Amino acid sequence: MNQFAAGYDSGTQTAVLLFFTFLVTCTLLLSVFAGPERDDLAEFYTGYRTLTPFKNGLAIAGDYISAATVLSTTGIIALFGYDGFVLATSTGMSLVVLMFLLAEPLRNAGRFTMGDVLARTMRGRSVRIAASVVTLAACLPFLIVQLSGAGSLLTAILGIHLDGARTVSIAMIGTLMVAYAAMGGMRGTALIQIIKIVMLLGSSAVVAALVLSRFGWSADALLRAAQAGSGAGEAYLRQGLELGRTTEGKLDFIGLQLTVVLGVACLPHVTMRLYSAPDAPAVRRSMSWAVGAVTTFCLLGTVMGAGAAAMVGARLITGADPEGRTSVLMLARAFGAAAPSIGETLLYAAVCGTVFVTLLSSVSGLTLAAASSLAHDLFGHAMRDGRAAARTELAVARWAAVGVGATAVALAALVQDWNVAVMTTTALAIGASAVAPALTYSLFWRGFGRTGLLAALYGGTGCVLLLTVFSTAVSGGPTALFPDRDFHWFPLQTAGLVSIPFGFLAGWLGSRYDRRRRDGTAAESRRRYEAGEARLLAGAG
Amino acid sequence: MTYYGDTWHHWQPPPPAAPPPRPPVRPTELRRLRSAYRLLRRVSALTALGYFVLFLLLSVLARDTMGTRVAGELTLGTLMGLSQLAVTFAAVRWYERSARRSVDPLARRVRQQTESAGGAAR
Repeated sequence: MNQFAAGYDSGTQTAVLLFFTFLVTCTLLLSVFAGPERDDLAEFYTGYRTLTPFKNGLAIAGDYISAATVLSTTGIIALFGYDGFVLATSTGMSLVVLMFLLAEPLRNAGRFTMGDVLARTMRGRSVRIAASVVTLAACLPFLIVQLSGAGSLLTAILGIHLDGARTVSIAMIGTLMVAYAAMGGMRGTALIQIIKIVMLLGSSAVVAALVLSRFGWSADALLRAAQAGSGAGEAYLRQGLELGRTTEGKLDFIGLQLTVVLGVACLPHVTMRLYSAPDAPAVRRSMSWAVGAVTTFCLLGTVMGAGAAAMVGARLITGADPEGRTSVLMLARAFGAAAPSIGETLLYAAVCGTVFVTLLSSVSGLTLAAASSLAHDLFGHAMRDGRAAARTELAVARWAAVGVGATAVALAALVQDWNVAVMTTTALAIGASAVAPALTYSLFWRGFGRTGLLAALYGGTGCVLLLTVFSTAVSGGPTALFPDRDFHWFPLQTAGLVSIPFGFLAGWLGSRYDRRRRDGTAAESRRRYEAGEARLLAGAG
Repeated sequence: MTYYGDTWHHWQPPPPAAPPPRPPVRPTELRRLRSAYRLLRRVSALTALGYFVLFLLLSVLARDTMGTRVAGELTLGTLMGLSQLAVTFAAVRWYERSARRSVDPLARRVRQQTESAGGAAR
């Protein structure tokens, strides 16, 4: 990060710092004033049911586009060209799949959390516990990777080079994220997500327009300069730079894209936003706004990534961060490289502010999803059988946010010097291999039994964790988490290609086992499914 | 707040021990709604996902073909990626329009039946 931080003048840094303070004050005030009433659980878990589909769609898009998406995807586009283009397409696709396949029945079946959806056809606390465990398993790695990235980013932007500065920034961002989640609940974070997505689309549009105008509004000139700047030449516009052209590389690439398509939209903090729409037509309208916002951002991100390759160059980008996560910031900086004018300084401050708000909002969304599941599924239902007082459950949810936040901050500070990019794919793979099969079967298959559900949730998660630990992303390669060790036997970086089929298969086999055993649980699940079908499909009752 | 939103607020999770018997909905309406939704899901998801999977597989397996230049620096692969945008928007529009026409009226009828049957049962 040092090269990136070099060449900063103090005026720019003051502007950025002032802007950060302004943003933090505004968003904190918002989340306090918009926070739910003392004991209104529905307001805490779902926020405003009165939000128009347009605003709700923006909030969904805000939750959906994480800081990891903004920073990593543009970085991958800048460094690896075509592979990044495909990744941006997959990111957009995932929300479309959510909209077409799951969104409406999910809204009708769910109340607050994933546990509510899954437990509607099955009895027993084991279902609630499993839902909570998988929610945590998906949210925590994603939270840790973004927090630890936030630490390095903040110190780089502000140009602080003291020992422990990163740990302090991680703790500061962690405190803010807990504050947003615990005070604001879904109501407060909805507003922050809307602000974030508007800022993100606005500043991306300006940067992308500036990039294009720099190249005379000609995509040709931009692509030519990007090929030259990336140092890869022709290969920049062909698949294979990121993971190589070996058979493993090809399989890994396909597996990664499938994991993204099935995984991103199934992450609990995204699906949780759907429950706040008043009915199925409203969720449909919201989702089409969200898809519009997300695909627009993916297009702008592609232009920005190519612009970073063209104007900054791969050598400088990898010098600052081997994964290219600072490329957006370096691009914003490249406009005023020689002698920054007021406008260029403002542009840089705006881009930094956008990245900062994106980081804050995505980590607080994740914290909220994890805390809600702990309070509602684990405490409210598994421990108190759904009989906890609303006020108690709300207090538990707030303390759970503190607990989740503290754990995540501690772990993020611990791993801040490691290459933790593998945690992003782990979280996505859990979404695709455990959450996706469980939700799909639960919503569309009346024969789905309890053993099947537990097998899909625990089996999918376990398969992802096992394969990832012994994959090339963790050991046995220069970019691995432990580059000096080698204990891998799984030849790919992403577990998805094996774990997604495994999760679906486990759910199916488990349900068959339920039916074979004939102890009545399978029949009961089926009866409950049929009894609830009018509600599932029509929102009736 | 809409009427449905209101009923939703009063909805409580069924007690875990014995699920209450649901008021009967005329099965034909529910079945028609189910198959309308299924058709909608299949067509829209197959269109959008099918195009994407084709794009992904071609990118990996037919790398040289996808790398041929179509216009200036624009390669076939980049062009296919860009047209994914158009396919997505078209699919979303189609999905919304057909859902309004085929699913929503059926869902409304099922809801009315459930509510009137529920009122009679109570």
